[in-house]
Amino acid sequence: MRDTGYYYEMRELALEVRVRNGIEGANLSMRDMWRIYCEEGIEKLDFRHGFKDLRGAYFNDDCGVTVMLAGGLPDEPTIFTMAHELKHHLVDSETGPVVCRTNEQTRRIEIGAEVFASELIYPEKDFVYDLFRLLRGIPQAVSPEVLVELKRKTNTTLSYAALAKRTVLLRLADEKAFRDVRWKSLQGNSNNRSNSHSHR
Amino acid sequence: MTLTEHVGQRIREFRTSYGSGAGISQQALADALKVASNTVSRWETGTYRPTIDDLEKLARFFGKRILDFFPEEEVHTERDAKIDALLRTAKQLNDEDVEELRRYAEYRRARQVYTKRPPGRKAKK
Repeated sequence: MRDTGYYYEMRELALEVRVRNGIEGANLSMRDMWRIYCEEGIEKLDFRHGFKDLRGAYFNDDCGVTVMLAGGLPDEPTIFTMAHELKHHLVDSETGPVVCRTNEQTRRIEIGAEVFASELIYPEKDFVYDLFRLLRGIPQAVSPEVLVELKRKTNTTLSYAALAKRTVLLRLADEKAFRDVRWKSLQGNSNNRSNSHSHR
Repeated sequence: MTLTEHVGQRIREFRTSYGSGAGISQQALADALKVASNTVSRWETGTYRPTIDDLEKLARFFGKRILDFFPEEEVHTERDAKIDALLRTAKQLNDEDVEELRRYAEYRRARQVYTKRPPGRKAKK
């Protein structure tokens, strides 16, 4: 129960950060993130290549307030990691350096950072509103195709993995529905359908 | 001796002792780092100040730590304790990531030393 309250606070904090920085909509760009970093007191952002599992790290010491990101990632995971590290800056800066791996989502502060990042990029209430609007009502179960369509319509920079996780957490779909989904392929099909409609 | 001169001297030492003492020419080093042929010479004499990113490339090339270019007392005092503390937080990482993280932690410390002091200020002997 205590953790649920903590994650609720992380969502609230993300919404505050959005308001404080004039962020609207579901499309948070790297430029937006850097602007937020400057406003929130992160002094340096370093991209470093050569990591396998490490996704990002946050430092606040006598060398300054710095976020290090694994280089070479596509924009969406980079934006998500920037948002994730921002939570460490705002909430965990007293605990010393924080090192974040791709598969480390078990510790409370890491789950909190994931919740914060998702909410910062695409608030849950907007997600639910957009989803219900897209489906014209309460869906029986949300399919991967629906999430592809939602992403196309909202142009959100929140990843498919994060959208799917949120859908499951909101009990709008079973976890099995998103197992082994080939998102890029589905996205390609959706784009083709959309193009053929627009050419008619 | 200025910090830039000290760094230049260390570049020369590492270059001339490279490859089990056989050394490597300035030209060969310049080629390996993809810099102009006279740049290495100018680094070594302290005429040019290498950037922190140049120093990282040099450290990787020579198989050294970036902090090895700096005067001992400037960077080594608390270095090991702080970097060890960081690496303890990352003990679940694979070996390659730990090594890259250590390099990054040292890069941050080197950058702080390198940028906080104007190039012309004398380093302690």
